[in-house]
Amino acid sequence: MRSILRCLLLFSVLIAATWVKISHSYDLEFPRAPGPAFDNQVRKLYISKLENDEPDMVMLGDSTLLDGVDPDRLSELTGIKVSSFDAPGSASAFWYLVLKNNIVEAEHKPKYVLILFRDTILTAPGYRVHGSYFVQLDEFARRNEPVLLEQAYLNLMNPLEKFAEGTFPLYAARVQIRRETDAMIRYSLTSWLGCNKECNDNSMYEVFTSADLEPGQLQSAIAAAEGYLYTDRQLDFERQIDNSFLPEMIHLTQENNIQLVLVRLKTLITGEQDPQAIERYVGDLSEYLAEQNVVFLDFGTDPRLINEYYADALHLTREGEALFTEMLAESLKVALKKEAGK
Amino acid sequence: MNFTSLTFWLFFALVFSMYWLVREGRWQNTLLILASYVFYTWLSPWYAVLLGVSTLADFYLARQMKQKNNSAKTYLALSSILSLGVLAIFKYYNFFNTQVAEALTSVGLSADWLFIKVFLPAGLSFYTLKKLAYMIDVSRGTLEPSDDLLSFALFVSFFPQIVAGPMDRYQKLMPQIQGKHIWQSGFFYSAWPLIVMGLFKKIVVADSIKPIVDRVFGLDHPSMVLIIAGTLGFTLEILADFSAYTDLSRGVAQLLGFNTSENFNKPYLSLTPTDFWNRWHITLSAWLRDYIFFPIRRALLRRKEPLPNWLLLSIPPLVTMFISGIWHGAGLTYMIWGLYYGVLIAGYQLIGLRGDWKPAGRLKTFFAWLIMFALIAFGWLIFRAPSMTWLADVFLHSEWTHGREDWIVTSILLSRTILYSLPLVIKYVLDQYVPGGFIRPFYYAVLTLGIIIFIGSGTSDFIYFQF
Repeated sequence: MRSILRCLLLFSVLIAATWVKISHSYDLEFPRAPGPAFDNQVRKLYISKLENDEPDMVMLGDSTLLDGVDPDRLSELTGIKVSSFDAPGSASAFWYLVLKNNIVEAEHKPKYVLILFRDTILTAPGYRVHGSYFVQLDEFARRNEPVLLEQAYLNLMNPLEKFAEGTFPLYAARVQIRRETDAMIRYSLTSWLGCNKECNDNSMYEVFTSADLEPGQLQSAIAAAEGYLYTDRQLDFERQIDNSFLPEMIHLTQENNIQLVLVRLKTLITGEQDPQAIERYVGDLSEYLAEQNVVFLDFGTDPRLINEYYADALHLTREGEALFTEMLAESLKVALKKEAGK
Repeated sequence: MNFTSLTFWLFFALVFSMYWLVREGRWQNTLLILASYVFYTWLSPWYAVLLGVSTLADFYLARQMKQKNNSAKTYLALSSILSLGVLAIFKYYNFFNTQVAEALTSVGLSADWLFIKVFLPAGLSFYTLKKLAYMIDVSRGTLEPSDDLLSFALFVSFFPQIVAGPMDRYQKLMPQIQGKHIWQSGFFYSAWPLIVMGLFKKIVVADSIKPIVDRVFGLDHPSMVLIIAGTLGFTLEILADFSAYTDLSRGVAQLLGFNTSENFNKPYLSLTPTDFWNRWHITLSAWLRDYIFFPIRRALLRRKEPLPNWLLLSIPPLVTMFISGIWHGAGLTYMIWGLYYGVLIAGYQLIGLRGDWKPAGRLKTFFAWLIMFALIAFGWLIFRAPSMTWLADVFLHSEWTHGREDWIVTSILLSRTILYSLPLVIKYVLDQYVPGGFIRPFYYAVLTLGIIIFIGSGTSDFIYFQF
């Protein structure tokens, strides 16, 4: 009895101390609106690319785009100048931000924006928005991003989380505190070994990112991470569409006279999921996009993309990339001609 | 719905309130059964049917055993075939189907149907052993079969224990199920440190160390220094993860008025392999000891032609630990891991170092501990390796280091492991040397702050970020 009372007393003292300290250190006022705080800096990486290269078509996507389409070859085959804005680890929240804060803000706007996606990723706004992905998003977000905040964070929070985010400094600032703690652990010991932050990050990159992964481990890591896209909730198109970034992306492109082209890529994960649920989802998506005048190219079950063209469950090999670029160019020519004839 | 999710705690708050409002024992147990099946259905609806059917089958078979005493062995065999058959199908099907399909295809038979993916129902391995112990005890006549289906069903499905133990025996749990349940504030005082500790170990320690450990074991050709650091990281991760689950399970059970078994007792302070298994996953070790080790040993001792002593000392641990290995999972790494412990236990016993061995003097004790800790860590390396081929490749072809980068990453991993193990070391010191005062409550208050910071702020995307 006495022990728990002491613990509660000490806990209250610690909470009060962190309240003062955190509010002061992170310049936060409480109560506050729940959700993460973005800084006001926006990277203009893609604006410069657009203004320097002046492409007519921009492709957005993650590493599957990087390994799946050769932009130079696509330009050659279609006669359209193409730029690839591939960002490994990105998803719909990131593509929305690049479209909103870079592409439509550039002096030179492309005629076409092509988004290469897989299965439900376009209507899964909470996919890849936390942890390290938050840092990636923050680079392209302004301080005030109501759509991003609502769709990627607030819609997915329960009332208790919203209350804690808005009321308790320790909970609200937990991501930053965690990141700083991780950085302290990561960089402290190595700094005594004469290795600064850059040397540290390079070492991590050398050892992990540029090295070969054990194939079984890689497959299970991919399957575990992709599992989020195949939950009942994510496969329910009607439920997800209004909570996603897709309507806003369509609106932004139409407002700026940009033709949006959505390309569904085949992955080896799809085959391991519930085929009927995916078929239903893609059917609903296709109907919706037709109503919105968006070009939709579906390679999700294309038999020409056989397993041998895949380096892992998601990424194409060099041969796969060459074949898919040709397939894409062929379909694009037909679809854009049809669209122009409308 | 796992023990660290908000859904679970909302579910538990509801069950807890209703349970103590109901007051009448029979209704309390009915409520717990309903809650247990809701909990299990949440994990996998169809597997709840399997749980129900297998519970009914064993309840009936145990009663038949008692009524038809002459056929006790037949009923035990039937129950074992049913329980172990189901376990074997779900646990090992995916491991063997490829080999069987290849064999069938080679003789010209179609084997496409074999490639259906079978998922292991959560907790099946645990409740199978729980039921098996009950059936064996009834067949031996050391236990009266239950005549109360409701209580028996609760014993099998008790939700704080069903997914990962502790595997309490019928003799321990049944009197508590059938006894009176009256709320005592002591339940809460015993439960809260377990719950805080469990949440901390899982959310802060295990989940923080896991991403980088996974990355090391995900490399195709890691260097030796990285493997050593990764193994030490995994040694911490598995203790924190599994003991966290047990703490939470015990804390939740305690809030419902149940006193369940401890599963871990400072296992990394063991001095011998037998000592380790007396401290690690204690309820499983006790099960293996009582239902496999002792029967084998007795059978060997009863032989008309006595076996040489070294065989008497070697066969029981080798068979027992091999079974322990395959119980942990389908795969060569688990089998080898089990055998490795069998060899260690037999080896230590052959040189006269039994489970209760205590070396004379601090220096000897330190070296005995150091050797045992290294052996435990090596065991975890076998357990965590993606495959035996990978492990063999590491030992045969890996260099000590691939360069300065390896040392940097090794030091990052080691500093992380040391830092995250500190709260567990402090807990040990508090348990040993600080009985009361303000320090212990302060420790739990700080852990609670840690939980708040780490909850939902993790970067479990670590491996996958490169895509």
